[in-house]
Amino acid sequence: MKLLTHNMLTSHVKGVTKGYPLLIKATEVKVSEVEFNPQFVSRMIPKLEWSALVQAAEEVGHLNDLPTELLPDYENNEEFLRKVHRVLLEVEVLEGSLRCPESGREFPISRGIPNMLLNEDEA
Amino acid sequence: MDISMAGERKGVSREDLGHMEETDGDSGPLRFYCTAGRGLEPFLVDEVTCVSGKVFFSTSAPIRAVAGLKSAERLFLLLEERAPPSGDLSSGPARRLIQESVVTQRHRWTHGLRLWRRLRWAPGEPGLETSVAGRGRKRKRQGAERSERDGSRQERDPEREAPWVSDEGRGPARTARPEDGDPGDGRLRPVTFRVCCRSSGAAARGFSPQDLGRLIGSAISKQLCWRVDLRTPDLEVNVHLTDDRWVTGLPLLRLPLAHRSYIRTTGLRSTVAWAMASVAEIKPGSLVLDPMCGVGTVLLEAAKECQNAFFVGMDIDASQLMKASENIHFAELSERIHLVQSSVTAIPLPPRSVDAVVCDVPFGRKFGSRADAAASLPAAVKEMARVLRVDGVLVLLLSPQLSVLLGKALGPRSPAESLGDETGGVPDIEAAGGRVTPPLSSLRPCSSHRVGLGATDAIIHKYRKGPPGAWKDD
Repeated sequence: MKLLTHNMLTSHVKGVTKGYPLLIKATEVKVSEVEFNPQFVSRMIPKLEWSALVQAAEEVGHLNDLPTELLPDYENNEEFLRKVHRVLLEVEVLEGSLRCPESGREFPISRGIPNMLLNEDEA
Repeated sequence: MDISMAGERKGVSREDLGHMEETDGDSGPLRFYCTAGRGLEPFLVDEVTCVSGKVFFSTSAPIRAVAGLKSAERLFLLLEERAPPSGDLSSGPARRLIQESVVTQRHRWTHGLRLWRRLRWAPGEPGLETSVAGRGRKRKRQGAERSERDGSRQERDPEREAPWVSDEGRGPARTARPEDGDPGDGRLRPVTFRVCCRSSGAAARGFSPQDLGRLIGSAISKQLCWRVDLRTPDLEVNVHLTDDRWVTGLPLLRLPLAHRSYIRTTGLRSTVAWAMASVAEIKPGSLVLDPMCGVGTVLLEAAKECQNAFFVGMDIDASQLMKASENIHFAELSERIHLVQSSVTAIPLPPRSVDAVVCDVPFGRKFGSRADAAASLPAAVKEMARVLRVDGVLVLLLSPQLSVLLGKALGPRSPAESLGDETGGVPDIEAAGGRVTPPLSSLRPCSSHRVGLGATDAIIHKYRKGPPGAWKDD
């Protein structure tokens, strides 16, 4: 599970009003090299919940020097875009779990794929 | 690039432009046709004509660009094309007529052959291998005998000048033309071919398939001095005779265009998957969701086409997701397509967060019984509508039965609804039988295309999410 995906995932356990952001508990994290595409990263940034991204990066131990606030005029800041690229696309949680902040329900991550399926009573 | 297209995003992507020059000097643009799955013709290039199952076009673009067409089945270089003659085709004069119309555009046949030879000896590219029924570069000398499988005979005239003459044991060839030489094995020999003929309607009534094949084959041999070889020919001449049109073409590529070298496990036909993605209005920066992605075919086609968009695939079945993951890695798209395991009836995304939803809805099997489908489909579409942002596009592939079901679930539309009630007034839900749930009624139908999926049909539906009404939609 890459952090770009995590940034969007929401818990839908019945009764939960804000199942976001999901708290990451990672037991296996992989960092791989992904071709840097600045246009792509620039276009993804407006879709992100920035504080959730920073929190997630910290939870998986890859915060490094990612700014805690979104920089203005980021489209032209290659150094910044590269940092964002690394955190969004190069860090991957292979094994672990996601925890709903409201209900405490844990969703397992296995082989890089988070399992968000709810049981009958939770839906 | 010279291909004219219906809609700019359809067809060839710039990445597919090759560097091979295909001009034949004096011939200018070459004429091609592609076969198309039922209902997909409008998605194909629309230069001049469209006959059921085929789309014809001219282009000066290199073959690699043409080979990048995504909604086509097979690609042929057009050799001959005519309206079928009227009258009874089983008569003697009809036989002569057919023989005379086999080769009329001689220059196309010779140019086609040259193009095929050039492609054949180009450095190998996946998916671009030329149509060669035999294998390997070392060719044994082709005997002049033809296999007697269908009991037909071929006239042999050793004195006749052939375009290439084999020099084995006969000294230098009389008519050898160095530029047509076969660089692979250094010898020159006649090009070999066989005829693949399909007919329907009057042509089928007048002749048996073998008869037609023989007739056409001998006409080609006589006119062009190509030699027949039924087992391992160089070329296959493809003839299709219907009551609409008589078309003869040369398949240039070994694999159909519909074959995708970047997909390992296929689910939905790639051509249909591509067509669905092409109507979803995916732009750079779009976030696209397929909430029932299976092995990921639709996402793969969409991601190949739209380089700067981000795709999320969800499915309830872990084994399907494993195959999807394999496909994604094989296609080298793992940075832009991400997978999540979830149910379509509870999509783990916030409302209005996705730019487009594209989904091939399984026809009953995944849902279990038909009753399950009836219950689950509206719930599934409701979730898809919920996560879709305003003005976002929903593209669904549904069987005809599910289409009817969904039509009922979406309910009758009052004129105010269809035009987009900006004031946020509440529509008459009682009139709709109380079954219209708010998020569903936010979907406005845009278009639908009926397409063939082999034995069955399906319909590509496009909806757009309207502005928020007076109700909450999550």
